Amino acid sequence: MENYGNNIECIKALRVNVQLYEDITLNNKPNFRYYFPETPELNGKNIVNIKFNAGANIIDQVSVYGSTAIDLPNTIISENSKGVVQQPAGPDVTFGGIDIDKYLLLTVYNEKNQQVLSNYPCHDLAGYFRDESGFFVIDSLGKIRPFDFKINIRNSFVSTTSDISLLTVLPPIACFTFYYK
Amino acid sequence: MKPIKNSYLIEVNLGSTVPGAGANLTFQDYPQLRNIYVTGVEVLDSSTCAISPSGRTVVSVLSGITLTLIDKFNQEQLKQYPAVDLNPEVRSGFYRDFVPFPLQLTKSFITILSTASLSANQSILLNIFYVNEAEAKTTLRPRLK
Repeated sequence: MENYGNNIECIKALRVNVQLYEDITLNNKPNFRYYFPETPELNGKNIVNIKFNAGANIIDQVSVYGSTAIDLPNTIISENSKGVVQQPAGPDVTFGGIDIDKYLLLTVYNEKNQQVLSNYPCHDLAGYFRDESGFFVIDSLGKIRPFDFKINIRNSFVSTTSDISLLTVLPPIACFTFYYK
Repeated sequence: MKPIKNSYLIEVNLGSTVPGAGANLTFQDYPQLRNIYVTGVEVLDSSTCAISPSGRTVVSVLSGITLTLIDKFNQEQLKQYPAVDLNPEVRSGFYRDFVPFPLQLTKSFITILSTASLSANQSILLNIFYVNEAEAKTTLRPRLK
């Protein structure tokens, strides 16, 4: 991880999914909060990285989840396997060419119920970056975002900005991988 | 890149008419960002966050925008820093981190150097990475000397 500028080593990784909405009529409502499911393994853990799992070619993630979900090459796990619980990468969040990670924001609370991440853009956690010619790539070197805080997953949530009305695939799932120690 | 302790997304709206070249847009007061030490800044365009939390369209081009950050001693810590250089998406995913300094957000501002590709009511998003004052005095003390 030192190559990435993060000098905090994780020992475990855990993937957590958040279902965004069940009713298609809700998909254009801004600032809805979608809370993480109860994940006691993460409470109080020191989070060193959060990865928003995204890809480019999977449309119906319901059918691919757990079966052909792509494995992202740029995770801490691939570079730091010692003592790390390896998890498969999550399903895609791209629906019909619309990258909903540009419409998702992550808010995280710490164990003291203080906001540590407020409206953090999920796209910034996805590893998508433009190359010199302007094309989006998943950076092979894995420019992860290093964090350092203890999380209270119960109070943390994903919110949507408005204008995601083009998303019609149900149920959309936002998939995060938390790296912690 | 140093690990991020806290982050806060702030927004500057261009207003109902696009400001002219050379205009300075100050930030509104965010109570959460009083008495903090800035450790890094991202400036985001619509490729990273298409719609702001308040529902405004985010600018698509940052090349005509600069950022000036003032510390609590009224000194310019960043002066006319090109916003495009603070966009991690075009910098191979890296964000710029700074030697922490106490930010005075309400005196800091964005300067519009070129109005090309900017439209009325669009917003500029900044993701501020910070530590609070108490934390800065303990964990960051070696860096502050």
